[in-house]
This record gives sequence, structure tokens and C-alpha cells, in this order.
Amino acid sequence: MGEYTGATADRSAVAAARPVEKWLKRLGLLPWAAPALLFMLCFAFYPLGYSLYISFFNYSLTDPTQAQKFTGLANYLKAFADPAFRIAALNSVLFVTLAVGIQTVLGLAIAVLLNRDRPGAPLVRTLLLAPLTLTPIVVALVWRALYNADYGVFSYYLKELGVHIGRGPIGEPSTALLALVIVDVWQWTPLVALMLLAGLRSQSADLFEAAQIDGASGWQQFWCVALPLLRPILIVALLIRTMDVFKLFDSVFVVTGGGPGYATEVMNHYIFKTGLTFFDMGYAAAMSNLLLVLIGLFTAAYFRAIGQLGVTQ
Amino acid sequence: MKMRRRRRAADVITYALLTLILGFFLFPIVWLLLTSLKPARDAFAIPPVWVFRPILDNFRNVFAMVPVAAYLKNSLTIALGTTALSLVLGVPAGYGLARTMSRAAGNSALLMLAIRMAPPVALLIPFYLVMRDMRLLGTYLAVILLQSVFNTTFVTWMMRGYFHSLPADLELAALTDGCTRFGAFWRVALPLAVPGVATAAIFTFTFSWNDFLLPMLLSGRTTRTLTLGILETMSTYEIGWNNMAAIGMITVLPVLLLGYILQPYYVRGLTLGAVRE
Amino acid sequence: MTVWRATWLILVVALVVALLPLSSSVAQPRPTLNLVSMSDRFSGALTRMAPEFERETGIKVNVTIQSYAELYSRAIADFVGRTGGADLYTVDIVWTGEWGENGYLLDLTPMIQRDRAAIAYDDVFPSVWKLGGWQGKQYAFPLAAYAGVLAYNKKVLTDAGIKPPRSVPEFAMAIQKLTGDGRYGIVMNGARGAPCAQDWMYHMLIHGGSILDKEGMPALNTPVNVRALTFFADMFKYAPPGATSYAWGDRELAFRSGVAMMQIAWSTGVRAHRDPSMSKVATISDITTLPQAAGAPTRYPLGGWSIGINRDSRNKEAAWQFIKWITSQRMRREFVRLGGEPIRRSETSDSTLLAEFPWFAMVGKSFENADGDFRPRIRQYPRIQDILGLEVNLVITGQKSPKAALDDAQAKAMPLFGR
Repeated sequence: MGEYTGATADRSAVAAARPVEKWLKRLGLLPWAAPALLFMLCFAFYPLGYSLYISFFNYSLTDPTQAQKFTGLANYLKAFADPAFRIAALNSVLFVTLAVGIQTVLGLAIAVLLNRDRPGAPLVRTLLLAPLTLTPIVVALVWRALYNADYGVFSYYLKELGVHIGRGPIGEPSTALLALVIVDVWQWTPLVALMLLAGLRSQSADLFEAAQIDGASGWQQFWCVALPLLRPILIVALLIRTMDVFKLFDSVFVVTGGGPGYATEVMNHYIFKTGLTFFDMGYAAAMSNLLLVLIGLFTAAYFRAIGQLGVTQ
Repeated sequence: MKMRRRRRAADVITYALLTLILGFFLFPIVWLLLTSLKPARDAFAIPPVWVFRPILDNFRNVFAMVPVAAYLKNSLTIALGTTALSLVLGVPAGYGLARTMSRAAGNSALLMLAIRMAPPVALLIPFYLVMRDMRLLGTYLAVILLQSVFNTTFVTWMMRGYFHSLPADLELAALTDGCTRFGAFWRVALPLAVPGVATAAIFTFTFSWNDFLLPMLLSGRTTRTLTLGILETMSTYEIGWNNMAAIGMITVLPVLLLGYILQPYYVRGLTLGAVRE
Repeated sequence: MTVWRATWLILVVALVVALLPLSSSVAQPRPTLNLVSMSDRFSGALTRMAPEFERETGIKVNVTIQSYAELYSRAIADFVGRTGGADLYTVDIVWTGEWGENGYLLDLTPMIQRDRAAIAYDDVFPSVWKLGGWQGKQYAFPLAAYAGVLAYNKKVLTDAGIKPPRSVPEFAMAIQKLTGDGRYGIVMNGARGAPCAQDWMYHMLIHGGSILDKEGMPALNTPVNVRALTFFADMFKYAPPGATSYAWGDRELAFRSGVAMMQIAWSTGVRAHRDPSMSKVATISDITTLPQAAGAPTRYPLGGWSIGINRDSRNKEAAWQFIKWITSQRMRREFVRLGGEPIRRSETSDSTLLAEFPWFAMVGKSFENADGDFRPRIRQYPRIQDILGLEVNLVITGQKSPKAALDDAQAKAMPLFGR
């Protein structure tokens, strides 16, 4: 798999002698990606470039003069000094850590539970698909209703169970972020679980038989055989979830508006408010570039992990 | 004997856990369904009302409040358009990147991933201005184009993985038989990759259908989507949870059904080609 | 192979559908007006009356309803992008200054002067012209005016021997006395953002405070404002526990469901209070004027919505025709009945309307003396409200002291005024 390179068999390249053809040959089938790359150039790189450019300016769309004043790195420095941004960044990282962490552990547990061919397991697997197809804005609204401290079903049963909920899950600064994490966990744990389940399924039984013959207990088999084999998928799952959780918007927008206080203010929401409610373009652009860098750092870490495993391709 | 008892105990625990898990993951959906069928005064009753005579009033209300049919059509148009555009761009790109072993190909793939990482807000503002200058604001195309930016990267990555897992020998044979490169792709590789394409299509469709942020700024009066319609049912002074639940059900149902009908493809897509089959 | 062919066919069809709108964006032959309305009670009236306008004039009006946050974001994007996305916008009273001063809306003053008699200018309450009026110009026409009132559960108050409070100490006393047995004396908006900022401003008003000083500069951390915020935060002890994350809808629900005994609210909610299909206090609730701080003159808050024309509209005359029509004495009765709120003296004194909406008498009295500027309608208002929305929320959730919060708010507000 994969050793084959299209160029070697390309008829146009058979008689490659002239430099242009040689160059084409070296390109291989890359031109096939050209339309997509061109599309990105127009609709992604241009906006991203603009975002980089405008981040060096003081530019507010609601300013009647529409002046673009070059301010160098001022917007970036402002971001570092802005307590709201610092808290939002911290909350984002905390949110990612909590959400992705819980999803991984819970997802792994569910995958293991479903891996044995018990009657009913396929049904459970099918039903677990539901949360992840659901429209996030609907999910957010549903949870907002469930969490309502005075009328919400969730809060009602918590109170019945004798749990002191105070101002409710989204009303208490100490629990609000966790409450939103649970929404994310609810929607996306099934994704992680089903991914890992697919991974477990693809592992050949021979390995486990061999381990069993060597006298490994079920637990040992899981830790020493299954889990290491699962690592590539686990990392892909973490990668996807991390990228998406950093872009969290709908549930904050609909459920808490970033409150109470700063408790659930995350970067994407703060940037949205700065850019698309107050139209402070320069500052919003600078912050979104910082967010991009942050996501990039996390992604790079995962790629390193994948690279070490030698499963990039 | 002891062994069997232990196994039975394990079974009991497993099923108890599975029930708990299912309860957690299905409860909000059940709540949504029940609330959409509940009379308004029961929606907030404390203690919660679980047994009631289901009514369709909420759905009737919603149809009177929001142009549901038009929004359905808009959501469908945008989702289909995004799916089509992302596949047209992404499938050949994935093929090209899968069959090219050069540094440039690897970098192109990484570039695509970098775009996938970009926060939508970062692209949204400049994109808004571009669409304005092209006089495309408020058209289906404006929403489709930006959604396709994110989805093309996804399709490319997925199809790259998928084509990798397909042996190249058949295409080679076709090429030797005098097929053009395009012919080999069209007649040999692509038919084999239909399950992969289907998976990519479902995901793109679902993503687009569920999107809220991009249509919020880019769609116009005639192109508003269902996700925007949901908030229209919640007047500032009266939160009608039952009406919200009704339009929520209408919004959710198509993607939920799509997920279930095409379940095998869906699950496969989750792994993004990380699992070889 | 069949699967493959079907997939291909779907793709082709989808592509064609996707590209269709490109060709259909040609200008329509007769004027069509696009109206974007806030998702409020009156939006239903607009939707239902638009076809009537079309029958009379041949001008079609498409009403799009949007939630508060979406409407604000999209309207500004439309204005600053100069896209002319909608011809008509409903305008919150607090946006007047920003939208007028920045030139987003067409100045209606000349048209109002021209048609002064036809629109029965003097029938509209003078104070209500603040909806859309800014620095001597009228940028939008009043559409639905709200009076800030104290809504209370008459039965419970009477049973407890409590009269509707007239002063702040009486108010505080009543709130405390009415709390208990699963009942709460009061309910306020506490959610971060506009909800808690706006509800706090009611309380600031009854304490005699203000947002700006006499020079028009922010004066958020004055002693009286700090007192008002301390009071506001204290009262959350007597409100439903979830109130710190309430917005208008939740607050109204707490009142209508008979859980909270009092609330300071806009008169537009009264209709639902008295609707037995959604209210448990339908026959036992009433409204009155707000309590006042000692020595302060009685103040009647004014809020609500006006309707303005986008300066980039291509159908300005038709839009003006619609505004005149929907605000005309002839159409107002129907508009109010379908969910709108009064703007004219003739509406709050009309016997048929009063029979249906008896509280309009009080609303009319309130409009005669109303203060539409207790939330300053200046250009910087949306930013000030956002700052207060955070700081007030920090106080009521116990994360900051009132003084520190208002000091911080003041420090953040000053740069908006170039200081």
C-alpha cells in the first residue's frame, strides 16, 4: 500500500525528457489537489491573510470614520493584558482538558463494554449514534432547559436526591464550566467510543490468544496489548476533539453567555463578541490568530505523538 | 461453578452500566421529544410531568410562527450544495494526495489540516466582506462556499486515507490497458471508493445541516436555515420550550434518520481512515 | 455500480440546485420590502398585517424575525457592510443613539414634517418620540412603547396585608416578608449581559441614580449607584435560586407561574400575566408604578421599539409608506390587538381597547411622565451595557463587591468616551 507513485506509470510521463515533463513527473498526482488548493487560496488563505493584516491595525467597523490606524503589535499586547482574554484562554484550555479527558476515559470504557458480543450490544451501539448527529444548537437549548435551577428536570432530580445545587449548575460560578463540559461530553463521548470500538474490532484475535497462552489476565491483555494498539486511533480522536472543542461556541452563546461572571467565557465566544457584535476588527483578528496558534500548538503535540508512532500515513 | 457465578456477576454489572450509559445519552433526546408533544403548561411543571396526552399543538404553533417549509428547503439546499462542492473538490484532492509520495503532497495535506483548525470566526469577518463585494451576501452560495472551506479539508483527509487503503494495482492495470489517468480514477478507483465517498457525504451533510454560526451571518432573508428558525420561536418575553422542542425535533430528525439509515458508513467515517479494514 | 450511479446523480442535481440562486438574484419588478423584526410579542402582529398592506398598496413586505443578539449583529454587519440587506429594522430604544449618530438609519425628520398631519403627530406621546429620536432628529418611528412597571401578585400581597410598596424601604420590607414557603418576594434578571444590566438599571433608577453625569460622561461608581447595586444583589436572596441566570423569559415565567410575588418589568408582559392559558396568576396580578427612593421625584421608565429605514435601502419611499401605514391611527388598533403595544394617546384612552386591556390607562399615565433616558441612548450604550452586564453579574454571583465592580466598570467605560 502506498509505495506506488502515480507518476511512474503515467503515460504522459513515460517519455519524460524535457525539464517541464520532468517537473510534472516529480509533481505526480499533486495537480489533482489543485482545484481544492485553489479554492482554499481564494476562500481560506485570503481571509486568513486579511485577518493577519488587520490584526496590526486599530480598525473598528462601527467607528463612523472607518479609519484603519496601523498600531503594530498593539492588539496582541492588548490581548495579553486583557483580563477577559486571559481568563477566556485559560477557560478554553481548561475546557479542552476536561472535556477531552472525560470523553477519552468514558469513551474507552464504553468501547470496552461494547466490544464483547453480548446480546443487546449492537442496539446500544446504534442508539449511541444519536447524540452526535444532533444539532448542537438544539442540544444546547435542551440542556439549558434541563439545567434551569427552578424548572429544570435535571436540577429537580438533583434536589430530590438531596444534592445542594445552590443557584443551579449554570448559576454557580464553580460549576458552570463543568456544566457546559457535560453538554460537550454528552454530545461527543459517543464519537470517541465508537471510534475506539472500531479500533478494538480491527485488532486481530490471534494476538490476544497468544497473550492468553502466555498467561496474561484479561486486564493485562487490555493494558499491554489492546491499549498500545489503540493508541493511533486514540490520538486521532483526541486531535479531532481538541480542534473542535477549542472552537466551542453554540453552547456558550445559548446557555450562559459566558457567565456567571467570567466562568464560562471561552476564546471563541469572546472573539465572536469582539468581532461580530462590537465589530472591533483589529482586536478580534489578533485574538483569533492567537487562538489559531494555540490550537496549532496542541495539534503539533499530537502530530509529534503520531510521528513517534510512525503512523502519519 | 465459581467461575460461572463470577461471569454472571460481571454480566449483571455490564448490563447495569450499559443501562446507565444509555439513560444518560438518551435522556435529553427523550425530553426533547416529550416536550415537543406536551401542552405548554406542562412543559415547566414541577415535579416534571411524564405522563400526559400528547398533542400536536406545538408543531402547529411552530408552523404558524416560522416558515418551516421554506427553512427546510434552505437547509437542504445549503447542505446538499456544501456536500456536492466539498466532494467535487475534496475527492480528487484526496486521491491525488494519496497517490503522490512527495514532500509537497505531505505539506499540502498539512496545509489543509491547518485550515480545519482555524476558528470559523477568524474566517467569517473577512469572508463577509468578500461576499459583500461579490454581491453574494444572503445567497445560498455565500454559506455554501465558507462551509465548503471547512468540509473540503475534511473530505480531502478522509478520502486520502481511504484511497491509501485501496490497492493501486487495479489502476495500474487499467493504465497499462490504455486508460487515461482520469479514466483509471473514474472507472476503477472511484467505484471502489463509493463507501468512503458516501461516508464523507453524510458527514459533510450533517455538519452543514447543523451549522448555526455561519448561516447566522451569511444567509439572508430567503436563505435562512432551520437552525436560525429555532431561536425565532423563543420570544424575549415568553420562552416557549415546547415550541422550541417542536422545531428542534423537525431540525434534528432528518440528520438523525440519515445517521441511522446509513449507520455502517457513519461509524466507518468516525475513524477518518485511521482504521484499516 | 447502481449505488455509484445514484450517488453521482444526486451530486449533479445538488450542484445544479446549489448554483441556481446565482441566476435568481435578479432584481424583482415591483418593490418588495424586507423588514427585520425583533422576536418580540409585536413581531407576530407585523407578520400577520403585512399581507393586508400588500392588498392595499401592492407592496409586499417580507418579515424576518430574529432574536436580540442575532438582530444586533446582523443589522450592524448590514450597515457597516453597506449591503442594504433589509429595508426596515425594528430598533431598540437603546440603539437609537448609535444607529442615528453613525448614520445607519435614514433621517425621517423631513418626511415626518411633510406628513405631520397625516400621521397625527401630536397624538403620539411626546416622551414616546424618544423611541428613534436623537439630537433633534427622528431616525425611527415609534412602534411599540413599553412602560416600566411593578407587577405584583395582588392576592398574595393583600392576604399578607402588604400594600404595593411606594418607597425603597417598603419595597425591601415587602420582598422579605413575601419570601418563604416556596414563594419568593421578587424576581430579577441575573444572566450575564443585557438581562442583568438592564434589570439593574431599573433598580438604579428607583434609587435615584444615573449612568451619566450632567456633562454626559459616565458616572457609574457614584455612591447612589453603589447603593443601588448593593440592594440589587441583596434582593437575589429573596429571588428564585436560578434567578442569577435568568433572562426576561425566565423572569416572566417565575412571575406567571406564581413562584415570584413581584417583579419590575415592561408592560408588554402584562398580557401574558392575564392569559389563563399560560399564567397561574391570570386573575390575581396587577401592575403599579415603581417605588421611589426618598426625596426622588417619581420616575416612569420607558422602553420599547421603533421602526427605521436602512440608509442603504433601495425602496425608501415604499418603506416610509409602510411605516406610516403601520403606525397610523387607523391600523394601530389592530396592531395592538395582535400583540403590539401603544404609542398614541388615542390608544390608551380608546374604550374598546381599554375594555380588552384595562391596564393601558396606567400605561398611558406612565407615558405622560416617562423617562426614556434612564438607560442613556448614546452611541456608546451597547458597550456600556456589556460592561455592566459583566460587572453586575460578578456582584450578584458573589465574585466582586459592588464598589469594586462599579469602579472597574467606570474604568472600562471612560476610554469609550475618549478619556
